[in-house]
Amino acid sequence: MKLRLTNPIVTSEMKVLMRTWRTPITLLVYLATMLFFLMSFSSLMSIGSGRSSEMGLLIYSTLANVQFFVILLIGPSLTAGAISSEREKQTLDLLICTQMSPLKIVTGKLISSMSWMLLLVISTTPFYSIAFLYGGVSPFAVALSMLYLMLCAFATGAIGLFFSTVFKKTATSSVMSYVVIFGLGVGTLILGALEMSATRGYYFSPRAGALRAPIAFYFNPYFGFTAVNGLLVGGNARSIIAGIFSGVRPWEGILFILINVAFMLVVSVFMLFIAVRRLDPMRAKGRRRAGRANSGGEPR
Amino acid sequence: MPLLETVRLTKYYGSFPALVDLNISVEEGEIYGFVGPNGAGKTTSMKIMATLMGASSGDVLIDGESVLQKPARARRLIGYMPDFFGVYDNLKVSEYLDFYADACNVPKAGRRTLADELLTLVNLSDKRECYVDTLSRGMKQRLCLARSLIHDPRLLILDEPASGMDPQARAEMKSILKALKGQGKTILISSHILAELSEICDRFAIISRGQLMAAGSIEEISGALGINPRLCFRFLSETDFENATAILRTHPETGPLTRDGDILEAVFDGTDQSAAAIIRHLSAAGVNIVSAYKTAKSLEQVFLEVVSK
Repeated sequence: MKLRLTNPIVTSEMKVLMRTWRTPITLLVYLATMLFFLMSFSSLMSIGSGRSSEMGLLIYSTLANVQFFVILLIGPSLTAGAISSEREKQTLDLLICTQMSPLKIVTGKLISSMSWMLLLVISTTPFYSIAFLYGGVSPFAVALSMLYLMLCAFATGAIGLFFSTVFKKTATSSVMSYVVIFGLGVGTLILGALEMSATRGYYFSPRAGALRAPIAFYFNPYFGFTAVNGLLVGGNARSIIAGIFSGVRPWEGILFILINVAFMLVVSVFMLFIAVRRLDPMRAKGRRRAGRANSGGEPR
Repeated sequence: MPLLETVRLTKYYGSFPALVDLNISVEEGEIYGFVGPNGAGKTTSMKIMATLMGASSGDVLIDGESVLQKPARARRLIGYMPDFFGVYDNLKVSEYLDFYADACNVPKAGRRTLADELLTLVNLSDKRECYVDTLSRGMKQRLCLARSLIHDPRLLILDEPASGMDPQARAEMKSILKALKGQGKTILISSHILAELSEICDRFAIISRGQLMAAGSIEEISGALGINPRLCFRFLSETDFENATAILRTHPETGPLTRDGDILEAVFDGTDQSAAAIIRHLSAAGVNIVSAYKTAKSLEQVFLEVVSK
C-alpha cells in the first residue's frame, strides 16, 4: 500500500485559512503588537546602557517572552473547537465515516493549528535579526528558544484538542483548556511559592550548593522557557525570572529543562491518546465488548 | 449471501431499549425501505451500520464481515448520509468533494473526473465552482449524496435523504436513487414519505419501539398480516350502495365488506377478469356504479396497521 504523508484536514484547513482576509490582518496585528512591545522595552531599557550586546539580549528576551505568552493565549483557542465545532456543525459523523482514522483526524487538527502558530513564530524572524545585529545572542539560541515555543504550542494544542473531544460545546472546551493552562502556569507558581515559604530553604541560589527548585516549578512552562533562555542562551538573558537560574551548574539547569520538557511531552501525548480514543466510536468499553461477544472472541 | 445483515442487533441507551433483537437482511442491488414512527430506532440502527455507534449486543454484517469488528473495512463499503448534517460552508462544491475524496483515499489522478460525474448525477454540474453556503437545502442534500458516493461504495445508507425537500427536489432525489439502483448500488433508505418510498423500494422493514414488526414486499407483509387486496366502489345513491352491499355479501369471490365514507370496500383476491365480472354482475342488477377499482394495500395503510398492532 502506498504511504500517504498528506493529511486532507491540513490541506483543506490551510487552503481555507490562507484565502481569507482574516489571516493577513491577524498576522499584521500580531507583528504590530510585537513591534510595539519591542520598541517600548528597548527605549525604556536602553536608557543608561551603552553596550550593544545587552541591547541584543534585550530585544531577543522581549520577543521571546511576548511570543511565549501569545502562544499560551491563542494555542487553546485554535484547538479547543477543533472537534467540538465539527460536532456543532454536524460534520463530525461525516468525517468519521471516511477512511481517515481517529489518529489521522486528531493529528490533522493539531498540525493545522500548530502550522498557524508556527507561521506566527516564523513571521517574527526579521525582528530577531535585529537582535543579531546588536550581538549577544546566537542563531542557535534563537532556534532553541523557538523549539521550546513549538513545544508549548504542541502542549496547548493537545490540551485544547483533548477538551474538544470531551465537551460538546466549544465554549465549555475553551474555558476548560484555559483553566488547565492557567493551573499549569499560575497554579504551579503558587504551589512552588507555598513550598518555599513552608521550608524556608535556599532556592535558586549558589548558597544552596546546588539547584534547589520547588517541585511544582519543574512543571511550570514559564520556568522551563526561562531555563532554556537563562541557561542555554547565555546565562543572563533577561526575562521576568531569568535571574533565578544564574549561578547554578549547567547540568542541573539541563536536568531541570529535561524534566520540564518530558512532563510537557508526556501530558501532551497522553491527552492526544485519550482524544484519539474518544473519537473512535468503536473504542468505548461496552461497544468493544459487544463486538467481541458476537464474534465469539475472548475479552483480552 | 445478503450484502447487509443485522443479527439480533440490540442497543440500550442507559436502561432504555432503543433496538431489540433486530434482524433484517438486504440483498445486493435492491432498494430496501426502513420504515417506522419517530423514535422507532431507525437512525440508531443506521448509525450502528455506518460504524458511528457501537451495539449493546448483536452484530451487523456487511458482505459477511462484522462492522463492529472491522469498522475500517465497513467504511470502504458504505456510503452514509445522515438525517441531519452540516457542510463546510467556506469550501467550494468541487473542493468539498475533493476533500472527502482525499479523506476516502481516492487517488488524486481520477478525482476531478469522478467529482464531475457525481455532480452530473446529482444535477449540480453548474454549481461546481460555487461556495457550498450558497446552495439551497435541496442542493446541499444532493451534494451530500454525491459525497457519500465519492469512494464508489457498494452500499448506501440514507437516513431521510429527502426530508425538508420540496416536491420537485424529492422527485429529483427519487430519480437519482433509481439511477443508482441501475448502477447496481444497494440502498437502505429511511423516509417518512411512504408513498414515494413505496415507488422505489423493492422490500421494506417496518420497525416500532425498536422491534422489527414486519419485513418483505408490501404484498408479502400484507399477506402475512392477512391484509388482502380490495375492490372499491362508489355508487350514485345510497340505494345503490345498499343493493350492492346485499349482492357482494353473498358473492363467492368477495370477502368481508367495509364502508369508508361513500366507498364500499370488499376484500378480494381474484383476477382482473373476476373483478370485471363482478362489476358486470352489479350493473346487470341495476346498481349505478360511479367508479370501481382494485387496490392493493398501500405502504401507508400497511404501516399503520402494523404499527397499531
